[in-house]
Amino acid sequence: MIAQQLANSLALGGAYALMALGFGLIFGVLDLIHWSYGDVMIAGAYLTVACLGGVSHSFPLLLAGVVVATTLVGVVVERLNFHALRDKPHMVILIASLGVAMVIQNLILIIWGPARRRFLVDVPFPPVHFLGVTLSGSRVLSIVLSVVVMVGLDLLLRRTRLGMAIRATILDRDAAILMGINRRFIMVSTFALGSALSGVAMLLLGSMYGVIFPLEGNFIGLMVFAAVIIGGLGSIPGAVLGGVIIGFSQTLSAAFVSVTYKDAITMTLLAVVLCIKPSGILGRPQEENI
Amino acid sequence: MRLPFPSSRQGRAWLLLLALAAALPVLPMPSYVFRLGALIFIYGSVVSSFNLLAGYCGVISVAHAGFFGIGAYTAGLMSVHLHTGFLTGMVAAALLTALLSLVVGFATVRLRGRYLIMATLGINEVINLVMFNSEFTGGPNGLPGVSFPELFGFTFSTTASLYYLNLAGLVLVTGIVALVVNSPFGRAMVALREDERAAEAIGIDTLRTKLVAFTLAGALAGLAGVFYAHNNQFVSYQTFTTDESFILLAMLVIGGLGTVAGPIIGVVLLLALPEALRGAALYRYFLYGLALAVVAPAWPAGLAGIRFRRRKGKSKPDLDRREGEAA
Amino acid sequence: MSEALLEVREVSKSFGGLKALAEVSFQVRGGEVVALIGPNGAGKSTLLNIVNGFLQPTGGQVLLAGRDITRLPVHVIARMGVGRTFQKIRVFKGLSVLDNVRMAVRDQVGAVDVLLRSPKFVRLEREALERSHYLVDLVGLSDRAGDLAVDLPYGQQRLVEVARGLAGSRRLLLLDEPGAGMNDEEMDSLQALIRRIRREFEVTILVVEHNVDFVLNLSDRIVVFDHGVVIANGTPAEVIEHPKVIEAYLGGKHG
Repeated sequence: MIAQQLANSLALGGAYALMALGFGLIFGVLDLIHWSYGDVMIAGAYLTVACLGGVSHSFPLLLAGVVVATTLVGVVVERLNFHALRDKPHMVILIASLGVAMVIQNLILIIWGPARRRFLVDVPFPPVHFLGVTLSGSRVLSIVLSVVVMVGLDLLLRRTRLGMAIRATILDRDAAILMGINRRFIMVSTFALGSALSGVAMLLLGSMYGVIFPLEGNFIGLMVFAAVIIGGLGSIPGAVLGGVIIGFSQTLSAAFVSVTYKDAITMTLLAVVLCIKPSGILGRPQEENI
Repeated sequence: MRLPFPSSRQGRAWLLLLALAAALPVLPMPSYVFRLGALIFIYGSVVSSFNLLAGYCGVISVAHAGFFGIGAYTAGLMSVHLHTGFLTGMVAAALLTALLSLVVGFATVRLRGRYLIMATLGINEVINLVMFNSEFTGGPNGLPGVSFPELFGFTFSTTASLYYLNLAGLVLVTGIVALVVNSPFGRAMVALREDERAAEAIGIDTLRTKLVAFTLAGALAGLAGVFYAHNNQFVSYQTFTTDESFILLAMLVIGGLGTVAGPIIGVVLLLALPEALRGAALYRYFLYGLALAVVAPAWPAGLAGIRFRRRKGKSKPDLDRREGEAA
Repeated sequence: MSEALLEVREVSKSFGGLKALAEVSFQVRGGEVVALIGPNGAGKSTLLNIVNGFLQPTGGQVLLAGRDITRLPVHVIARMGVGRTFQKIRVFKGLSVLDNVRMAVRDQVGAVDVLLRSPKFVRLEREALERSHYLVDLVGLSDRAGDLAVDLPYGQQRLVEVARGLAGSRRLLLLDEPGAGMNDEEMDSLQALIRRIRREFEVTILVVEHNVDFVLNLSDRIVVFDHGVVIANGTPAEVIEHPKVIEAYLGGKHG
């Protein structure tokens, strides 16, 4: 029984790790908390369902569709919410971002209504049995695909020019700009990359749960915050660790403590970590200049 | 003994407004207007208390709806299960929310800016989840059957009487806020908001100041919650979600942070206008979000804040990009 | 007053692997004006932050009038009579010049008096206001007392900081690069102001400065830093001849 839950945790953790990575990249490169990250993801899902008819399609098509849709929404948000306000005081950007999250959520609500929608994925994997544990096809997909994407991301960050530019900017933004890295291009690319990652994660979540609803972005966003904070803001391995931890927290709480309170448990974990060690497990404490 | 401001021009303006509000029921208007008025007064109290913390002290917490709710549920539960009265509910709610906000304040006291928002967001979520999931609180269906407020034998059951009671509540809360901000402690809060390090360097105990502000703001919000519960005879988790916390922030931002009048302006605008636009129920949250997304960048200090910008002695919150806080 | 008001005793500070200060010791006697000079990164501001309480040393102690203040919180140290200005100006931008200073004047009034607005409260408020006006006048900003601090030119904001630093604190004033960003004329009036402050208030002043000329005529003693170590400590005349000082400044003396 425990082994089963652990296996399920890994599957969920994989999806959250991808989201935490996307979020973490945006934070690392742009020093921005993307308050509507989850909503962008759900908006992408709704768009995909709207365009492709909501019936389970060929897997590659669905994957491409959701990634493209999420990336598009993400870039639009970047242009309107962050780029347009880039010279404003921090508090203003923050407050405006909270507003944008509400706008996206409720736009979805207005256009598509409050009822849950089906998001069915034709998973190309059969269920797997080993050691008394049964992993459904979608869970297998989640573990496999998240690992594949993470490896791909690692390659991108290490081997491509864009990747190196991103890493340089994370390490020292000012130096990177001085060295000639095009700031605007980096911003859009990072946002696109971060959103794309959430698109893949959306596919995984969709395949595991089969439904989407308008305010889900709110909930997902909170889980992603928890993941990056616990794992450590500004740290890429921290994001992966945090995502996996959330996967475990959600699954194990639901299985062994209480289904109704699993979210409260994860939220409490977030609050506790913030209050005790805001830099998380692998993050660097932020120095303040006096 | 001298009262803070009746003799000043500002004080006279306040008294005039109060007189107008009190005289309003004389005019022939649908009772709906007075029900809305009562709600405006209650939210005015909540945002006023939020102003103390966020506007004057610069501590942007999004757990405020949660404390409003804890006050409301405390009064509601006591009324429904223990059949206690209005005043007892007020005392209990004020004490409980004061204690809880002290705890939250203590836990989050070293957090700034976006980290504080995330922590208080999580905390509000937890509070709301308990409201939603717990059978004790009535779960998702809420808690009906809260009694009408009664004081000294008189029961406030008519629209007009509730209107006046909540107006009195607003006067009480806003009066307390005004007293606190126009005091040395109020100055300490403002200094803290403007620059925490510099405030420490001139001898202000910033940790203690933040804690007191947190506790006071929470207690006042809880107090407003009591009025809310008895006004509606019903309490539900939906009124106290994190989105509602964001709306409180919107009301504060639009009305004007750091001024006593700001909260009331913001509440009137963001409560009355959507109500006036009939059929906007579906669009309500959308509009609130739009208000935050569009108005905040355009008018960072809010309506009342900007008007007072040039006055001697009045303060406008500093939102300078380079100081500490980040999005 | 000639005993040490401030004593820095074997203070060390490391940031991770970087040792910013190494066993720094010196004294400042009551009524003196002491300057801390040294090349960039020598650790001067770090030391000031340690005296003030913003940073904790990794070793050593700081004593104020014989009392160990090393681990005390910033606001407690401030209330013991230590005021300061900041390298990066930290006035209360949204407040008027007068309010900036008023914030720092200590309130000895109890909560009851405040709430009831008793005669005692009214009197104390008036006295505090008078003192604030006096300080604003002292730094030459009385014609701008009502203006928002953010609207003032840089040099004048610095003066607001000085007035504010004096307000609550009468014993020790820490000035962190007060001359930064000022032109010659402003520097001269700042020098005159510091002299006047020292005369009128009998306050001890510790100045961190880049600009050696600025402090040469101003200070009773100069402590020279280089790479976190004190390399000289004496009168301006002594220090300027010191071989190590000359060596440290080769290739980069500000004039």
